[in-house]
Amino acid sequence: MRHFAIALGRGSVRASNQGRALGVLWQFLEPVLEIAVYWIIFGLVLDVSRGVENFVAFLTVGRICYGFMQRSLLGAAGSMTAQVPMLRSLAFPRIVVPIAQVIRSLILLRSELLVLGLAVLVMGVRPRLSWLLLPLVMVVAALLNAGLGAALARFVFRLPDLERLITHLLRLNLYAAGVIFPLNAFIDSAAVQRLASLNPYFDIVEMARWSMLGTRPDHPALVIGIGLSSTVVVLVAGFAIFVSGEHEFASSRSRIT
Amino acid sequence: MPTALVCRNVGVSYSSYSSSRRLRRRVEVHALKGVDLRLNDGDSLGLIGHNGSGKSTLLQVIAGLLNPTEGEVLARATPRLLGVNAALNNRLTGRQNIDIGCLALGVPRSEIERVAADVAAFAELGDFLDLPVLSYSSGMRQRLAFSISAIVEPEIVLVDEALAVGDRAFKAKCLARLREIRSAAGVVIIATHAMNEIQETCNRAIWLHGGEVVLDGEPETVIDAYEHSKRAVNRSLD
Repeated sequence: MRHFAIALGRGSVRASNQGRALGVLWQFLEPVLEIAVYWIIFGLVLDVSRGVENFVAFLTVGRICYGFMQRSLLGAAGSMTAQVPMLRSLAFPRIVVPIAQVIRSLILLRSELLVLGLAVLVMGVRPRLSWLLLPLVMVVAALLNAGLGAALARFVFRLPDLERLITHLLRLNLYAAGVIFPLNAFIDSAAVQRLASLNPYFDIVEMARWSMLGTRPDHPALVIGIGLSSTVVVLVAGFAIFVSGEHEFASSRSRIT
Repeated sequence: MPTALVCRNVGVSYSSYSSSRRLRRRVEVHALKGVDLRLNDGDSLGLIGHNGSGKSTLLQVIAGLLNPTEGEVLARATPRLLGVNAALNNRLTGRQNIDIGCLALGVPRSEIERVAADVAAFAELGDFLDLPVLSYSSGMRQRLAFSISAIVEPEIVLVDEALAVGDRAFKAKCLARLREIRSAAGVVIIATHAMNEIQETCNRAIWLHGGEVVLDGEPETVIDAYEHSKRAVNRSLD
């Protein structure tokens, strides 16, 4: 089943490149263009700093990291509704479907991390050994979103409208996780920072920045402790929620979608 | 002969929204109602009925891909559905679809290459194998789907319209492959519009209409009654 999940993930990457003249090159062009936009807007035009040293690098690392989580979660959450024809014709463990979406994001992430490394060099960040920790942080991010995505996939399958809601909650969380602006740019209080660490998305973004830019979080123990432990809890609980409701995916209600 | 498969009062209903010009209301649709069925080893059953009569739904329920809202299905072995409606990813090439299909059907990784080559040879798609399925004709698509689903040899096999595949030569090849699968299987259920196929290979037939069993018996009798009712409908239309 592991190979099936990988084949499905790879298949959906290939499917999205299909029919484009530049094909697989888009996997590199996409992050290059995204980062270029941040650099032009925030580095050249606005020249904001928000009290952050090298704001463009701060934003870029956060966006790439959060973008990966966003894509994994939305992909996994909507995966079961998107695959109804396949569910109607083949019998296999259904958990493969949301996992394949996270694998898809991981495949795309490889080129994004490469581009990210080059981009922050251009932005004047010194390379450091801790860069090697970033892939590990992203593995944690993948597990967190696989767990949450699997659980949500069950509910989205029951009520497809939820998918829209999740999109907006993720957008809201973009700010709660301090991706665009550092939280202390608004509220400079230790209590708020501690409260924010309860959000695993905040923790993972902080860890990603720590490894890439050397920006130590205000509460490193909280960030690592809660980041890792909540990932384990969410992963186990999420898969349990999915598997215990696996029979629902054969429900005749799904014929409407 | 020992019993291999039992359906007890199987019903499937779902609600949908019907949108007419004025109002949007919830409608309860009955895809199957009170289907009872008992099949023994060696039985070969043909399902007959118009489009929308519930043939495919019944096969999906028996295969465990769709939960019945009422009743239950008991089977000695997992029934496997074989057909031309298998999900293909339109943006992937034929070959990539074959790989994914084989893995989904549980072919072990070490055998993938061999099985995939067999499927590719069987499908006879030539250079199209490396083009996205989007560029296929509907006949080619069905051929690919059938070729992938025909790699398994289950004990209880369900066939959904698989005989409507391709040109005459390819059809003959499909029939030969189906005979192989059937001779290995204990129980076969076929849903098809090809009456001669049912007459030749089935020892029993069921006529479904509006999700209900109208007639259950010898293929000859059931087909005659079905054809007769169709003629009656055509006459009344004239």
